[in-house]
Amino acid sequence: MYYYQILPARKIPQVYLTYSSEFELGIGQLVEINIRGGLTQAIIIREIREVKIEFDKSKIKPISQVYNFKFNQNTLGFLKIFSQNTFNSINLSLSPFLQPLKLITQKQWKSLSESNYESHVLADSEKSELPVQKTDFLLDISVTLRIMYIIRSAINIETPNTLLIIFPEKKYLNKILEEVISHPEFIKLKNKVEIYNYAGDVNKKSKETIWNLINTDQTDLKLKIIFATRAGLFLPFQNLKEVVLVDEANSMHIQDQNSIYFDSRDAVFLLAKAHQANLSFVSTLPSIRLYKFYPENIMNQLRI
Amino acid sequence: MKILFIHCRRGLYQLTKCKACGHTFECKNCDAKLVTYRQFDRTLELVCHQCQTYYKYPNQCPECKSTELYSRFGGIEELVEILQRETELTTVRLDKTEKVAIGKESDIKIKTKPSVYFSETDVTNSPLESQVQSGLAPDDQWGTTGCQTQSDGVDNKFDYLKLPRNKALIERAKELRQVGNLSEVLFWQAFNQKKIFQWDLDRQAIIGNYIVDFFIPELGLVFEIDGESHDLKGKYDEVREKYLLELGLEIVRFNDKDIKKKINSVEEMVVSAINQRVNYLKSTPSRFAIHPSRGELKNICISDRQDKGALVNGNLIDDIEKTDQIFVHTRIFDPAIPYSAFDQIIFVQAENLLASADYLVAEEMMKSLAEVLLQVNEKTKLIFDTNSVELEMFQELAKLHFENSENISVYRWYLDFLEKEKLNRGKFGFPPFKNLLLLTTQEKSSINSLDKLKIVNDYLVSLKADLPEVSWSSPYPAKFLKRRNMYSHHILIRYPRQYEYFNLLRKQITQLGDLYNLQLRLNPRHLF
Repeated sequence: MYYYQILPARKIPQVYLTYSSEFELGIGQLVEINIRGGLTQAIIIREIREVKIEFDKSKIKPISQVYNFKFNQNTLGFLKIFSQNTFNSINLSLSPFLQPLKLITQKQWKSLSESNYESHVLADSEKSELPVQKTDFLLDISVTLRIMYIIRSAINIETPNTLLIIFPEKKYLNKILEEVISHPEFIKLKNKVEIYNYAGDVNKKSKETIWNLINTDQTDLKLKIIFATRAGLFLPFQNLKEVVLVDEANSMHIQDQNSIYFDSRDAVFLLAKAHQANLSFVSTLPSIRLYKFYPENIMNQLRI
Repeated sequence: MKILFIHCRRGLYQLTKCKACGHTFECKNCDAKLVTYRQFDRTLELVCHQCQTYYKYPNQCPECKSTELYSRFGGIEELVEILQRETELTTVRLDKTEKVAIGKESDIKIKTKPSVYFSETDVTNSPLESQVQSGLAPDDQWGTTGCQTQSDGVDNKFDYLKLPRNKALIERAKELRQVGNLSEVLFWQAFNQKKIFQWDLDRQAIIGNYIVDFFIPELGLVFEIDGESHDLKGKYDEVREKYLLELGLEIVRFNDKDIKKKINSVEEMVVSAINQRVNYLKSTPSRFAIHPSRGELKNICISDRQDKGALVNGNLIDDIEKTDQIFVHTRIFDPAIPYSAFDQIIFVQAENLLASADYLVAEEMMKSLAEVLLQVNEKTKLIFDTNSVELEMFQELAKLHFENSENISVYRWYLDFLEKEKLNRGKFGFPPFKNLLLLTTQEKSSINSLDKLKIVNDYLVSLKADLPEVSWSSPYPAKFLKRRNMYSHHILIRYPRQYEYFNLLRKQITQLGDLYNLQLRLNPRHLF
């Protein structure tokens, strides 16, 4: 019997719980457990050696279901620093990470190959991560042209690569996506890229995006470009190398109503840090933060 | 011509009150005023924007049982109704449209079915009339007094809401209604029940410090019945009449004996007086008359809403004959909208753009405005309809116009704003200079809510030595103290962006949050 420390996506006083499994499972493995008569999704944080368990082992409940999916080290690292830096409970912070996975059907779960994933140890950083890294920003009246420039640069890298572009709202996302797809430069690059779109809602496009992200083929060198709203920060990325935020002053970047609270303009710094990805801001007009950080040399204006 | 109206207020009316006692209709679950909406079956309902509770539009005031209710501070739905009525053009609500085709000026198309409030057959059923029937003030179109509106058969109505009214006389007026003399009862029966004219007739109506016998509010027409009592009050009546005339009212007097003996001839006189009054009001300038406006040199116009009431006042719409499509929206800048396709963009009640006290609003509003200014073409005329032309924002816009309407000028104008905003944010320690953390309680009792935060405040005082550079406010009530039957207070904590003792701060605050069930929001959208 194996014993694991589990992080459930539900606010509980203890934060972590101990559950058992007959099979050996990896860190970051997605499971389902029974808490107070209800099933809750959770992830495995660490294995507990039997000798270290001080209480009655017979009272430890078994894990109800194991999904054929593990969060990678980068995503677990992002979960931790996101929770710490935004003052959200780590249990509730897990919920948006699990939300996209709910779009995967049982049939798709079964078809997933386990060999795609490796076990990692949860990163343990407790520093305040809000913006410390140098960031580029691009100012131009045409956001589409700036995004085209970033896409062209990202394509040159000949390794599996994912580019995430965060928009403040779905309407804006759709507009720019339409413009990018119809751009003559993009049409030339069509064979080298795959475009996905995720606005946090349940539809065919979202399902396709999630499925393609977790069922990724490591030999496929096509650049994956994800046009997303703030919900896209919590997607299960495999090779996230570029993060772009369309930095409009729109307060829709702020999630203020659900159980977790964050500003995606802050959270992108944490995401880029966790995935060691490049971070760029794109805007037609500078926001107040760009205007402050630029003279302080925290952000560089990228001239094309 | 394609015209876009931008009005940042949702619903039909923002406020519903009792005319008699001033009672304001609020949500039972929240400290929020109810917003009036019109349903598809054209009946009215009240909605709480905080908890989404719907209420049937009341027939009477729960406090004084008066049936004289009125709604004011018009929103986008009222704007649509007025535009439909005034222009008879289809008004397209962009705030309810998911996708707008982007194209040249001539081929702007709405892919989804626009939400049109009145079909052609509905136009005959005047929305104004139904408002009158439902107790809504018909001419309080734009929230402030002094507005003249148009309706069936009459171009303008008298704005009776601006009339002074001594509330201390309410009881006296009620008494007079109950003990009315014979001639008054006869007059009331003859005209109120017949409805020979479409106007509401008020009996024993209060105007200033006086009570008049009969009053048609929408026409500003007073009917007085002179009996013996009037004969004895010569000077008093003189002063009274002078006062009423100064208010712009017209007074028609009848003799007590005529009412009793010649009601038919009185009826003819009443109809004649009404027709004369209607003609008189028709001759006064309508809302589409030329209106003095400021700064109209090239394409930015700050329209000074001097009468503080009219919607499409002055020359907001250049040429209604040439207008073929009207669009309305609640957002200043919507990335899906091709602003260059419009000939005119009108910001209705533009002073409301800065109405919120939240620290993010100024940046968001100015950036949105700059985006619009950058997108419009040279021919697009931007009109800011306001009654506060002295506001810095309008003064700056006017300067921008005087200088140059090229993009470079817009950039400079926006960067000037950023410079000022940066100084303000730095001065008050707002993001991005410092981080703000808002602690919020949610309790069933207001006292418990405040008490909890007092304890938190005391605890923070004890940590002061360990957490240098951290400052916090004393507990303060939330903007909506009660929301969904829960009471909220806030404490706002401010700490440096790269804070050396962040771990200690985080641990202490999250412990407090767990212990007292507090919501913790980093750099939130609203601080109140």
